[in-house]
Amino acid sequence: MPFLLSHPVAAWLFPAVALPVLFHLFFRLRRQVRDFPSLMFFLRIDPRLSAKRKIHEWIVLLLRCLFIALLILALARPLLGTKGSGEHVARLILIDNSGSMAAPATAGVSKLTLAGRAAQKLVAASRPGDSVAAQLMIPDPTLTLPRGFDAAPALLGDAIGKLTPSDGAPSVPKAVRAALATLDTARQPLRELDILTDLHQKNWSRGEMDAQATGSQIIVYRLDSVPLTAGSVSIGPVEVPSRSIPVGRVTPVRVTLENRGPVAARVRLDDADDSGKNFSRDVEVAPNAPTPATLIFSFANPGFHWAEVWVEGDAAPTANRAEIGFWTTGVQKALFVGGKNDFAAMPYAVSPGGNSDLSGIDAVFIGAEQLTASLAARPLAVVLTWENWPQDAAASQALRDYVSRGGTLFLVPAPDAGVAVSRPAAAWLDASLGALVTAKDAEPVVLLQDGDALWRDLRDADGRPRLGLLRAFQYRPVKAGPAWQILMTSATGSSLLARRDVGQGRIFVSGLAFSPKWSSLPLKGAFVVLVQNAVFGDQAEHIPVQAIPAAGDFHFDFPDAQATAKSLAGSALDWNGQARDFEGFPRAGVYEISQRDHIGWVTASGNADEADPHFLPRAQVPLLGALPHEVLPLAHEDDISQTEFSQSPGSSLYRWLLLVALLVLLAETWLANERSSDLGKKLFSSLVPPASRKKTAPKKPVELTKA
Amino acid sequence: MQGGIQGLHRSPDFGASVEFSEYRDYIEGDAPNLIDWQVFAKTDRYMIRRFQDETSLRASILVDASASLDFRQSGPVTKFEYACSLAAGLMYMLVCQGDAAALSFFTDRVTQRFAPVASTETLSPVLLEMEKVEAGGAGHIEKSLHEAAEMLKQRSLVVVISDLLQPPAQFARGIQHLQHNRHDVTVFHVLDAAEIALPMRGLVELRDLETREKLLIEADEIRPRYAQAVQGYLAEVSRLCTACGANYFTIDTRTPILEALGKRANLF
Repeated sequence: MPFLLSHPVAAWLFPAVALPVLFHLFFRLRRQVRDFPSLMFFLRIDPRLSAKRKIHEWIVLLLRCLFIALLILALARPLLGTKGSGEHVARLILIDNSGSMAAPATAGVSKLTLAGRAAQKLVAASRPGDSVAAQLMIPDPTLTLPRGFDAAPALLGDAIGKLTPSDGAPSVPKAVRAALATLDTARQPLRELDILTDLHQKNWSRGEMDAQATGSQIIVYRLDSVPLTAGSVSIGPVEVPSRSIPVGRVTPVRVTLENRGPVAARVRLDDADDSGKNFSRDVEVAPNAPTPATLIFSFANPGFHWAEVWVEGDAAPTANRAEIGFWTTGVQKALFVGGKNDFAAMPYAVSPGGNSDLSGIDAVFIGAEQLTASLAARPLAVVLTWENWPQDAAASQALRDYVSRGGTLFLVPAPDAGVAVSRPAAAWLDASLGALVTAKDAEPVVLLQDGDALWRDLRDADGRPRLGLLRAFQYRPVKAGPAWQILMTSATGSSLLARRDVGQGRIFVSGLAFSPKWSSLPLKGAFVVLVQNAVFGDQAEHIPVQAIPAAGDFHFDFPDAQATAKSLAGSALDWNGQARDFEGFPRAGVYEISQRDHIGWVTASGNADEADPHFLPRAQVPLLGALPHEVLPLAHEDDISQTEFSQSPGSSLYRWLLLVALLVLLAETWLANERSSDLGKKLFSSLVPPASRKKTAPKKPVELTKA
Repeated sequence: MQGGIQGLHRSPDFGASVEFSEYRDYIEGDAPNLIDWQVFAKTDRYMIRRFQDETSLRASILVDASASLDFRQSGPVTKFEYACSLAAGLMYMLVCQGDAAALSFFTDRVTQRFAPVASTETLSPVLLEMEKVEAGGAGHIEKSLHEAAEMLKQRSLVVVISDLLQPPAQFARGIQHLQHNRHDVTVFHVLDAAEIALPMRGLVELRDLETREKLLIEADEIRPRYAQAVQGYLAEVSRLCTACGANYFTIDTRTPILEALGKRANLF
């Protein structure tokens, strides 16, 4: 069976095995010399050491030597199954290229550089008949790392030399499972998985490892990290706009800076967008105190836009970059059928400031006769007063078609329509208004349907919509059919606002005119939000921009189709291939992805967790659980000795050797004690009868009876 | 007991003491004054009345002075010193009770003889001379006893003090010789306790005091068989001495002299 010593330094102690022999000879030379009256009796019994005695003595001597030999051998940490004796080894090197590996190692270079050098050394050590392969914990499509065990070592070594750190956090269990699966494809019977990592605490404490390393030896090389002495600032979560942004609208983006170092850090926070605008500001970040910073962006053209944010002057290069994607749209129109006064404050809630600068929606007032024609332009929303409901069937049908195709229709009473009952709407609407009700003491308004999209961004911590103290002074009760959902009622139970979905669109009917004379709603700041929610509807806006952390999960919509991924900003990437072969975005950057006729964008930012300065110091890695593994420190690539990378999948003999050594020690003790039994006392007992023995105290002479 | 002068001990000879022994018939040649006329008057036979003659004891003490006695380990003195003390004690006892005692040293022959002494005045010079004697040289007990037997013309109490380190059959012949010459033989076998128990531990190189021969032994290992051999030897010595009619005592050098003297005193 192949055999190798993990710690061959202990082999220098092997001469100590001869110590029992030396002691034996030494004490033999120091024998006592005694005068004796006569050797007559000795000559009668042949006083030389008997063969049995000699064998006994040699066995004890042998056991002593064996005990020391086993002890030294155990210290040398022998492993069974190495290529040193002719067996070929398949070795897979798993390199941790997470963001934390960009930090400096104790050797003065980055941890990833050190890991790369160590990996190259492992690759170079392969012998004819061995196989070696390398994998990254975070797949890197920019690095052409040969797959499988068929690559030439030189080629593999060159590829490893081009390693660059990623900005992401790996899924360690996934990476180890993949590595073991690759190792299982090796032809060699002896398999070894070498993991080069800094044992970043967050990465190695996440997930569960359920793989079975059958017949594989796992060696974790722990790269030591330099403790932080200065401030280390990383960019934390970035609040990316979840909606499209109107062209020209100034959009604030809030970023959080986190200092993981022991002292305050003064850094420069830079940002730049795709139009070439950039801005820098100095920020002082106290340790362990998240510091927010707000960046301002605006874009002149509709479509996709990006911006980069990065930190300068930081001690550690980890998580210093974030990428932000924006989707801007042109000005949309909301049609108000009637005059400005017919809708009270509502046009101002749709287009604050009287234009589309803030909301991206332009409030357009048209006459009733223009309605049918205007619907052809697919406005974002149509707002009608009950009094202006089209009376001709064609217009009514056009309105229905508009709603069915995804439009939003809002019916409100005109604030100055008087107390008369409003004109009946079309039958398909299944809703009408009652007579004007004037509340003497301003009836409180009750909000219903907590989960409705109308209340988006208006809910409190309990998830209930809150509009403050809302009161109705006058209203027209909404009489809605069963298809309607009542969203707002008066304290007396009259419906004030209802909603009904028709096709892909939605219709809101209100019994309140949005005038301060009717209710306190227009006076609320939340009124704008409520109207915007009604206008934009509740369907999720599809923005073709995804924001993910670097190395985060990303999947193309069509796995079997061709796909391309190109970087627009940040880390360079130009990938083209089958979608299922795409390995993700390991670094911060802005990427344009295309598949079939669809084009989308992905922004990947550095993972702030990678800046966490805590690493596992243990000799055992809990995540690997029951997988047999050994953790070896790696401060320099030379720490990887010839013997260490020749280890086999066989198990360590350390405990077995200690056990055998213990058994040998017990046997030696038993044999040695048997030898030193006090025969003199036995002889004395046989010569002197027990009766007279009492009289012969130790100081008194022994009386020899007359024979 | 035969002696040159009248003493405390009964003589094997019939003499003129007051203690009646026996009657015998008168035979021709007997002195007529020995005839018991009262018996003749009663029995009409000539009977001669015999009386037990009493005489002083003649003792000869033979002390082994071979080198093997110059050994001490467990006892307070060497075997030779003990033997000399024992001999001196015996002589003093004998002289004090009016007997005569002679002293001889022997190795492989009788090396030194002191004339019999019968008084403390004459004993002192002998004891002083005894102190000058040192043990040394190879021993041959049988040969020495033969020589002593030839030298002792009169029947005596012969006390042999020795460690008897010779094959028992050999020195038994010397004792037989003494017994054959009608001497009353007593043997004091002086031993150091270490000779019996072999208390040494581990590897020991033994050097024979007489022959200077060396022998390497593992004391712990050999001890049981050694003890067995010593026991057999002691039993053999005892058996042979008894067979020869000699009194035999083993004496450990740790035994007080008075106690050792007591073993034989009742025999004097």
